[in-house]
Amino acid sequence: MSDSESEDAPLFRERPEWEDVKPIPVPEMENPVVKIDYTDEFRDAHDYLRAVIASGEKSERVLDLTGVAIKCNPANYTAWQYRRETITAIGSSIEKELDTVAMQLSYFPKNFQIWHHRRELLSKLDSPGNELTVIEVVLEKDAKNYHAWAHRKWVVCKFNIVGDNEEQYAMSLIEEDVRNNSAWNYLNFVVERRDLKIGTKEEASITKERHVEVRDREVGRSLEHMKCAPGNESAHNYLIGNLVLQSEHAKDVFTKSAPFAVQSLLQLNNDNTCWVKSSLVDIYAAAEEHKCSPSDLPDSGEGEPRPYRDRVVELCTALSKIDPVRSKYWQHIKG
Amino acid sequence: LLKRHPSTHPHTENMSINVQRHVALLSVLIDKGFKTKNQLDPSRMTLLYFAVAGVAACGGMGLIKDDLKSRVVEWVYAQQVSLEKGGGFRMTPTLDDGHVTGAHCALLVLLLCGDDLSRVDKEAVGTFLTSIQQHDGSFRCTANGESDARFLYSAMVVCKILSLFDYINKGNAVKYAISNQRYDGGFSGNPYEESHGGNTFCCVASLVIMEADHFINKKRALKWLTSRLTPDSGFNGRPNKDADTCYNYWVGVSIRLLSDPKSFPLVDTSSIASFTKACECETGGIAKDLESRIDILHTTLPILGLSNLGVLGGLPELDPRMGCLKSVIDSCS
Repeated sequence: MSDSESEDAPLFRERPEWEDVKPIPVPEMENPVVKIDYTDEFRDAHDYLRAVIASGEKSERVLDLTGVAIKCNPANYTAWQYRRETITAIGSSIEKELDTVAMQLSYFPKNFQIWHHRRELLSKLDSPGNELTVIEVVLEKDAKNYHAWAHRKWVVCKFNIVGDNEEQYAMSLIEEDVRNNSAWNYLNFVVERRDLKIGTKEEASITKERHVEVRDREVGRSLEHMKCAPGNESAHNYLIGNLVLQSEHAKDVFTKSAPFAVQSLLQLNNDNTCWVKSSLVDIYAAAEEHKCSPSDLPDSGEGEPRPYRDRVVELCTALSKIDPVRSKYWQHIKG
Repeated sequence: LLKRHPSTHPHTENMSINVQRHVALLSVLIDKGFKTKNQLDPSRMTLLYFAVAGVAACGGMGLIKDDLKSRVVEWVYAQQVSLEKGGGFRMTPTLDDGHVTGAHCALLVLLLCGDDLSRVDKEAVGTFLTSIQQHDGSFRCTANGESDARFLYSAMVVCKILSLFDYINKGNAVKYAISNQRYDGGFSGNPYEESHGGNTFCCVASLVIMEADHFINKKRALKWLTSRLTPDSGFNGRPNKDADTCYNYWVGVSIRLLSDPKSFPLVDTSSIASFTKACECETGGIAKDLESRIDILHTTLPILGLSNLGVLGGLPELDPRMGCLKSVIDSCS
């Protein structure tokens, strides 16, 4: 944080250059509850921070001080906020701060305050800088870091850079680990934003045909990735999320893509495939709601395609046995 | 005089979870605190809430001496922020800003300790809530902090307890919560982020509190939630992640909030109970999984979760929206 700080740095009360500041001790009652035995370094830094916040001083030395307070406690939201205000007031380099803080991120990749700090800085900078690379470094160590993915979404939305690179990035992580749910979620966000303009003012301008085309492509993508891992919840959620919609074009999308989806799932289906059966239940239930005729979607077995209700009952009965922890849920769906 | 009623004793017969030891551990943490854990400082009010709620959920409030309860109440009120300084409650005396989860936890702790909230400056709290709500309906944690589903939930608990809905834009709050429901049925921390068990609870409970839960796609949400149960283990918080005992609460209570009472719970609870038991420490406390150390959050939430799932008998009933005893919430409204 502060380059000059080391483990043996003197306390602020011992520094001659801080003589002019009178520290303000924390008003803690006697015999407090859930008390913490704060270290001397912590108390010292916080007492001086309270003093400069009260006086309103914003200077290089205050920047230094906030750094020490943050080192004592990376979740100190007051110190982070005052640090931001100080950076603005003294005209400190935002890029330099982003670099300094990136190092903190490697130690505390799940700290809410650091990610928020970066967003505030990037907003001021009005540029994504090399943030996408910073995020990639974090995801290399933990490909499911919730903060990192949320931050990436924020960056690409803020600076309007939801493009093919983002799809490629999500896919590269899916290829590495097909069970990376965060990557599948991010892919969904990218496709919906880039191709269907969901969440933007242009949403209404997307035609029905385009909706059907995009959803069909994504249904295909999920099924393709199911072949190697038919029990992967993430791929099944992605399939149903793109095939069984609640929105305006639900029926058109379903009509186009459901037959192929069912055919693919039936090929993967065997006695033990819980998720395959679960997705078939969702699709057949949707077919019933859309008032599809039984011949619209393939059925297992040789005979006449059965009513969807019957197919769902058979699948739920099987699921009660092979997915016993959820047997009550499957009974509930059957009913 | 200590009043002891049979109903306030934590029952331990026929229960595999060692409730009595957890109550003892939590009480000591309230009374004596922590040894040099600087990094816990910004969470003090939340830790206090988990400790007190954990004791209460185990039926142990009668074991907490009156003078400890008074110290708790005094400490909480000492964190109240005046209207001039923005209102709300601090998380810790170290950090001056009002914090919405500070307010949420403060109010629940006061209620659980039998306080009548007469010293709460409602106008200041309401003003604080107005100041932290954003245009999209979400809530920041502090005046300049980040916003996500957790702080929506904290704001809702505060509104519910103090009847402060007039200070917020309820319609926008509903829109924000609903916009967090993802393609897979779970809810995220902010729109388009990944579905997550904790955020699902925050959004669902918020919508239930605002009586706007009819906007939820319950079918899809229940499918996502019931899928959180991992084979031979507990609930995870996201697909393809490991089980963590705190999801006993976030996921289990979400299922309750969305289910028809007759069909609850929709999952088999025995492996959740065994997993929790395996994560228990003999001397008190529960860990998030088999590899981790115990902490307060992972002691209280798994117990609240098991109580909600009907696994622990003889414990006081919870209000599933509020993270608190039903009796306490009922008496405050």
